[in-house]
Amino acid sequence: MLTKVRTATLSGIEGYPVTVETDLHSGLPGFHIVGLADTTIKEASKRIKPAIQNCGGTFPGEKVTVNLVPAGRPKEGSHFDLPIALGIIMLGSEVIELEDTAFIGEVSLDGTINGVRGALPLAICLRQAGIRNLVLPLENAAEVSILEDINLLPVAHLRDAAEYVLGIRKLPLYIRKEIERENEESGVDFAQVVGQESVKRAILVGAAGNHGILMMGSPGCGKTMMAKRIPGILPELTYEEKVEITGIYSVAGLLSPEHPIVNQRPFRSPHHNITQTGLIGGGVRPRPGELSLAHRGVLFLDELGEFDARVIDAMRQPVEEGIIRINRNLEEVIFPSKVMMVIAANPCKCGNLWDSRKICTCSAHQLEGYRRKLMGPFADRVDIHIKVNPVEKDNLMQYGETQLTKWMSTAEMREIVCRTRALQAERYRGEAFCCNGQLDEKGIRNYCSLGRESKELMMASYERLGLSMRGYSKILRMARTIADLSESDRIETEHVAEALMYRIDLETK
Amino acid sequence: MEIIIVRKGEPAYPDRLLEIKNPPKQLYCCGNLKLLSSRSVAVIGSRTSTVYGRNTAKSIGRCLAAAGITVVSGMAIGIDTCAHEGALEAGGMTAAVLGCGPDVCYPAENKLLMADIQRKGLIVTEYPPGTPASRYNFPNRNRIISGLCEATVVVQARNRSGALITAELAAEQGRDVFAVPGNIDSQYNLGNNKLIKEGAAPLVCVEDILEHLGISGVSEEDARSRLSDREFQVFEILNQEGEMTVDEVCLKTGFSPAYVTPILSVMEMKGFINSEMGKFFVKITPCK
Ligand SMILES: Nc1ncnc2c1ncn2[C@@H]1O[C@H](COP(=O)(O)OP(=O)(O)O)[C@@H](O)[C@H]1O
Ligand SMILES: [Mg+2]
Repeated sequence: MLTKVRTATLSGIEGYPVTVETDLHSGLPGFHIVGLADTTIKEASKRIKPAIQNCGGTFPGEKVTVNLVPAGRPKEGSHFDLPIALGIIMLGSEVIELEDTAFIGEVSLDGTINGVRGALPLAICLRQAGIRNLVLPLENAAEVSILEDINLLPVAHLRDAAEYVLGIRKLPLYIRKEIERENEESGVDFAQVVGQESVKRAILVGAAGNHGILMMGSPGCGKTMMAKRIPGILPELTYEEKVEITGIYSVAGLLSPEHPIVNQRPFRSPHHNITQTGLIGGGVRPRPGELSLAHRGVLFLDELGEFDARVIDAMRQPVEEGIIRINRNLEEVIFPSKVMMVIAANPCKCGNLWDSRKICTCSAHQLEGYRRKLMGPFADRVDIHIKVNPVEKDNLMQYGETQLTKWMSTAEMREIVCRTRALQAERYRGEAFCCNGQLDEKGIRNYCSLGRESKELMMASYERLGLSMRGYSKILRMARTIADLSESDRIETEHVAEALMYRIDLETK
Repeated sequence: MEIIIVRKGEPAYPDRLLEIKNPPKQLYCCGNLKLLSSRSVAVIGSRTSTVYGRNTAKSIGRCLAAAGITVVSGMAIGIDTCAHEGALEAGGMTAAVLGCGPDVCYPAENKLLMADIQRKGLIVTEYPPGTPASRYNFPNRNRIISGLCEATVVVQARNRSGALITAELAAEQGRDVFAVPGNIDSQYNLGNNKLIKEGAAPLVCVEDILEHLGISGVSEEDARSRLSDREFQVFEILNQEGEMTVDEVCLKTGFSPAYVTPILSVMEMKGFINSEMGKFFVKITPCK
């Protein structure tokens, strides 16, 4: 007597299919789970027995062996409860055809079925493996409903699932709700930021070419305010991106019935006392960190100077490569981390250095130390460095009357960003990169050639600023974006000149 | 390094030294002799000093040198060293007046600095080669420091510092004396604060001294000839307004940041303006 129930397990944010084989042997009563199951699954034996009894079933009085196939890959997660329980219930009974049906769900002692982490990626891999019907916790149905070509059969209790497999009852199909773009009007808009036009311009360049931005300026001048508005000017997520990001949040356990689907660009702003694991991801059962939660959105590090230098350093490679590799005993787990990096920093430890109305209390030693910490290799990898000055009161008054503020609303900025991104996508069709911020050395050679005059400016700045080679490529990448913003095929001198401005401070002072 | 002897009465001998009470009979020089007669300011202070003092010395040195003024000091540890270093950092001129022979490095740890000053500036002393440093030589040496300069700035000095003697000599020689104000609870500042009490001009910001020397902005004709029309337009506004942020320039001109930013960037490259702490200003160079 052997039953087979199909389910899946997680590795990072990817799922892979697993079959639960259950067998009965005569002998002393016992319950064994084999096939590289971790403790969450081993504990299933303790939950399943009372759960089956609590919904009127009988637990076999013989030796039960559960084997998880393929046996060689590690498996984890409480969602194995449901398939294992059903495997036992089906022993010795007539069951319906289950070849293209899979099961996930955690079972309480009273038989209630609870939601699980990672339902969406599990469903994705099952669908790819040919599964047509997925029996899953009611709580997870909304999130998985983003997939259109799989039937969702939500269950609230083990009894319902049992009666379904035994052919006693049918399960109602989950009705998909239209996925709306929630809070379309999020209430934040760049038009609310008074002045700061040069910073908005730099942000526009950053968003258009996917360049990281570091804003430096005194407290209260609007750095955080502007950072929060950056996701709003990025292009809307595509369907594929929504599925991918929702999958990450699913694995992180961050979806809720109110927000079952991520349909806006993420904005993550981790507190500066965050641990390395919190930022990069990891743990015994690896979970995505803030870097992955910000995937395809904005990762905002507010007050960079306050972060632990080692934590910052650990981010360097993941940010550069766009993926995070975490090794656990048997496998390498991969999390994505393609983020637009936005950083805010005070000019000094007390924050007042640039504010002529206040007095900086830092010693020269502190200033030097702060600067060294801030302008390390991590900040160097961020393309755009921009100074933010407080808006003077009398200037505040003038802004109302000029055209400038009107120009820089979120909607207008987004339109420019989308247009410029489309231009880049078109140009880079068939390449490994799709925007200027990702250009490698070869890409720069192919797409960022300079005329004689701009070359001279570059050479002059090379001597003046003592640019590093890295700085040089960054300027070319930014100049490409700036040229694209004005829809110019050629990179002109003024484009290089503007790009230089975004590096001057870092490379010289 | 060649040692050149400049005797009183020779053309290279600086006029300013002839004005003082007991001008040296001859000067042993190593380096650029022109610095003997260039516009010069002495920047001096105690060997024992605070970070504040040393930083101030450095930025005064830097600012003067960037404006084309020769920074004269005594190459002692502390304030003197920083003043020389600031000048060198700015790529400008500096002269060290020694209390020993021109071939003797005192203090010994300043060997590298001395080599640098020889190469890029001037070493000068009234003592012949081989004369060891002696503390009896220093007060004498100080009259040459102040004597070579239009003005003397005491950055930080303790109560009985040699720098105060130099300041006194400068005053006797009819030269201007500046002192940098320091906090009154620190004995490191007793000397410089006392000078202010006695009538020295307080140096409240580094530019004070430039203003006193009659040094103003980049010449307009130079800007007009080397800048494009667009650049000159922004240059003129900066020149009128003093320091401005990019946004203030935009507000004033009605141009967008995308227009103004490249212009500022190019002008900074061409050396007409400088930026610091997010603000732009016209560079200061000596007027002709
Ligand atoms: N340019 C501006 N326009 C409108 N409001 C501003 C501006 N700058 C600052 N503020 C106001 O000041 C508050 C503090 O700004 P914040 O973004 O937190 O500054 P920072 O992050 O630079 O310390 C904001 O919430 C906003 O209300
Ligand atoms: Mg803030």
